[in-house]
Amino acid sequence: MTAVLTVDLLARVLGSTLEEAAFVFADPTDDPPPHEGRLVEARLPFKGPIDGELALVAPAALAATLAANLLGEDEGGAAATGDDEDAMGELLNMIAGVLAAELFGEGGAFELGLPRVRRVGPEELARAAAGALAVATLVEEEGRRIDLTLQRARRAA
Amino acid sequence: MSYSVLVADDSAIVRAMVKKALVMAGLDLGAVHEAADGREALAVLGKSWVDVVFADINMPVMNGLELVREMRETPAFAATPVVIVSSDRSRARMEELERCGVRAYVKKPFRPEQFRSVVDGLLGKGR
Repeated sequence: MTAVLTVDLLARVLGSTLEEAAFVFADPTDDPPPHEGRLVEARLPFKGPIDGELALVAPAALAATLAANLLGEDEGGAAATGDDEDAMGELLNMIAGVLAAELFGEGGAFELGLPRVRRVGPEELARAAAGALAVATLVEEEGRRIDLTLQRARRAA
Repeated sequence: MSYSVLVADDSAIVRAMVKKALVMAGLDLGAVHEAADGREALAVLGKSWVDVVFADINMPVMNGLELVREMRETPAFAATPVVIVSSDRSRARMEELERCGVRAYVKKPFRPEQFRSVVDGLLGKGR
């Protein structure tokens, strides 16, 4: 049985993956704090019954926390080593696998691409998020925000 | 007796997570080799003894499926067991992997005990 794409589904998959993989507990919010400072954005394309792209965005400090928790180590220099970007890409990869199974069925016909990660500012992020099918925003215990966005692939005219 | 493993994943953080999970699972590890893609994995296999390979599917240069196919066509590594460690659960991939002789799969996110279970299944308990 497959699920229907909703913001609640995105939020549930994001929350459970953060909790299970990185021990970060976050709740959905309708009133998210604004993004500030440098952000880490991971994007991952997928093909299936619908083609699209998932994006995961978090402040660089939260990305460093995620990296440390994935590794079970102190936060140290995740930003310097690139572990924060690696962590965001890998978490998005896990989220995409779980979400695809929910949307297209466990063992359904779909293909995940490779994650691409970059550092962006809040303005750039707003432009990239325009036209999203669904966006889930969660806030973790320290008040830091993390967004999961699903966009349908753009078709050639 | 300890055994030698190869962890192939383009993410350094995942390679570290798999290594940590293998240790936490209580497996008796000898050498732990790493590779960032299938091509690097084949190079490691060509010069080191490896008891079991843990490989992602989605990797650049040479993906996990291509790696398994190359291994099966190379007599020296044709019998080396491969455990796929991936988020990708698509039916087509799973069927292709099964046709190539892959008998074990660990879904991400994973827990250490999953590695214990698949390694016991592939290599026998008590190693």
